[in-house]
Amino acid sequence: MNESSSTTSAALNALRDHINSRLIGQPQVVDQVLIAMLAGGHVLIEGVPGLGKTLLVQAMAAGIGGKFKRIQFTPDLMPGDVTGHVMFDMSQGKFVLKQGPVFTNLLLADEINRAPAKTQAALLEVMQEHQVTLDGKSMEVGEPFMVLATQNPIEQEGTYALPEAELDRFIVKINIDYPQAEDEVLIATRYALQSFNEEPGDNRQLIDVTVAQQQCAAVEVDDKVAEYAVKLVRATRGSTLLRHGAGPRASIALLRCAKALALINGVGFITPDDVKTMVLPVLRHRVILSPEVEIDGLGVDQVLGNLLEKVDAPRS
Amino acid sequence: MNLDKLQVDACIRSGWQALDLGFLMARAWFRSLYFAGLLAMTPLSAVLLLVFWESPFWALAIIWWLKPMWERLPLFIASRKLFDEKSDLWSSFKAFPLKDVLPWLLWRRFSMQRAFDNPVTVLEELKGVQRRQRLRVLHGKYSDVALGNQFVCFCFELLVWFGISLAISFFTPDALGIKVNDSHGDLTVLGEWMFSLSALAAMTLVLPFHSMAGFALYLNRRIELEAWDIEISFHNLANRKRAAAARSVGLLASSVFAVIVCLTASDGVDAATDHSRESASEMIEDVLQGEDFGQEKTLRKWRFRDWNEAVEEDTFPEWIIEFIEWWETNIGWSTDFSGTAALLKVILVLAFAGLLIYLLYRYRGPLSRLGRAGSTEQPPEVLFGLDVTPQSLPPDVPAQVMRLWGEGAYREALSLLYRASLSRLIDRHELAFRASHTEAECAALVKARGIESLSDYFWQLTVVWRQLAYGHQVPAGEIVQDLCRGWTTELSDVAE
Repeated sequence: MNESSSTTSAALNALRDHINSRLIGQPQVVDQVLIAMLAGGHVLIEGVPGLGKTLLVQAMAAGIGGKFKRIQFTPDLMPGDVTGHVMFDMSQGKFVLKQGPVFTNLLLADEINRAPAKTQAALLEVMQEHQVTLDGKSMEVGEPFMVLATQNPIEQEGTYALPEAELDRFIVKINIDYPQAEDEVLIATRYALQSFNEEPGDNRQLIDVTVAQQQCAAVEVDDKVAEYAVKLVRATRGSTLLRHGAGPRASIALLRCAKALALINGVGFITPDDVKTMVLPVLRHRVILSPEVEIDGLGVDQVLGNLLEKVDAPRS
Repeated sequence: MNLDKLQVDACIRSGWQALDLGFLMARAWFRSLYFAGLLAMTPLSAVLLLVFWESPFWALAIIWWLKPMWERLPLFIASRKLFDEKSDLWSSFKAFPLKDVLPWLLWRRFSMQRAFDNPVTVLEELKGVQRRQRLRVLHGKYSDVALGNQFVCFCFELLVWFGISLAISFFTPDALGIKVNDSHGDLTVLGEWMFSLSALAAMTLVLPFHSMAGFALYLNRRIELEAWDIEISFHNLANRKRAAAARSVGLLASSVFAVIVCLTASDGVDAATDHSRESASEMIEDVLQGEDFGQEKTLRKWRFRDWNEAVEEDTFPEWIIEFIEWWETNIGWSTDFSGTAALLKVILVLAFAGLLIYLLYRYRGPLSRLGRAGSTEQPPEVLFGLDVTPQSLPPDVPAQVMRLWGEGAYREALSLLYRASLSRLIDRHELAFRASHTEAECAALVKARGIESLSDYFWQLTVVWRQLAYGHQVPAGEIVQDLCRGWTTELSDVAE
């Protein structure tokens, strides 16, 4: 690992500490969000309200020196409310472009499944291409660009399930759960005295995300490890436990996330452990359980765990 | 009416079985009957709906009132089909039976046995006293079933009506802007149309079933009263005799035979005429007084449908008879019961063996698990594609590793050290590695064993191995030497 990579790794650790100092008791979530950011992907976070998702994005935006915007998805939200629109300005006597909230670095799409499919689809182009087509013109959004979408697992009434094509655009799906008791005590005591917006510590930019992403892309991948990643993804296809397996995009995402994890760990290459660690976040939203398994009450993570046990790990 | 062409089995059924037959007839001839009902209804219904365009419920009420008329054409067609007579829909429509319509639309409108009574009017064309006498005979049985038919079909028609109406209202997209109710909750004209057309659809759909069920009940009663089944049997018997006669002799012989039969028959007739009416009556009385007549016995028993009576015959299995014969021949029934005791012994042994097999089969799952738990699992010989048996290792592993390292075979050297470590961990520390375990998972298993020095050593080896294997980074020679020394300390025979 060269010197610049070591610097990046140190900066990433600083950023991780910074976010963890604000979002208490969710270190794994923070790690996975950082991994997604380095891999240049987007994150789907599933968890009940009030677990600090907005705080996470705010802290992250501050740490990377980027802009942050939030959209609350509702059933009446229109695609133009997301991407922007062209409107006639009476004072100037001409059409002017009004950019939507997607023109930012970190976009928090809160409760994304509350908006109808048309509005959800408005995010597809910007998530994939990092650009928006308005009035026939393609416009770049900010770089780095990352969508952090949330959905609530319990209130399903009046929601629109995300289609597979859109789910596939999210590089990882993170399940966020309640913090441990001692962490919750810390949260309660701290935020009983101050508001969430009063950020402790410094607000300096801790890392250049674009550089970190380039270094992430340069992390070395051995052929055997790449084969292992593909084998893991392919194990989800044809299994009777799953109605729908993961596609090739999952293999790409898995290797990218493994690279990001290696970079965070300060290693210049990925190992089968990195791949295996990232399997659940990368695959859990790309597969669909078979009806029999759902009736049996098994979860996606359990099924994927069983399938992983059937794939031999490499010893290069 | 040619009973030979009767399309249904002329046997006596219970009233409910007759209803089943009616529904079956309706299903078999559904298309003709349905269109017949539709054809009968359509002209007048169309006119009525046009007249009452703004309030179609009135048209519906009149159409419903005229329902006895619409039932006639399907009944007429069914009576033709029953005797396999060809009649197309149009010719039947032209012969539309309109007799005695008025009473059916006035005081007989609410008759609860309409479908049962309809054939008397439509097919037998009886009126007045004749009709009343006929109905009195027919109503001797099955009146309750006819009532049931009316009730069931009424309920089913309501069900279909509401079903169609609800389906339309549920599946009509809101975007079409069709409003069934106004702001006061009353039905709009569109709503009335929807309900009226649904009711008409339900009426035409149920009508053939209702009519045919009543018709089948009527048929059943006539078969019972007029012994159609016996008549058909006699016809069949006579037909068979005629066919046999025709087959057995030629044309000439048949003629001669016919002459002889005629002569003989005339003798018979002459002989028969010798008996006076009185003497004949006496003879009949004598016969009727005999033991075979005058006794009535009712038998009731349950049986499965389509049950083959022949199966009920008690037959002793052939193999048991053979076995008893063999026993008599070879062992015999001695007075000291030694043969019987031997037989009982055999039976008991067989029964015990059967029980044992059954129990083994019944509890095969728990037993197999018990067997697995009791047995010590054999360590794998090949893991991760590597031979991990102790026999595969060189006598002096560190020396071999350093020799390979010295030759520049870095990968082979570290691979040997890693494989040797795995082999010793499996062999001596009985660690249960699985093929799906990654390097870090294997290290975690070693750590869980609780030997800190061994755990530290194996983790260090794993890190170096991964750097070389996946990062393609060759470690310094000193590190490899340290690892070899560590192997000697932790895993070699000396370490024991």
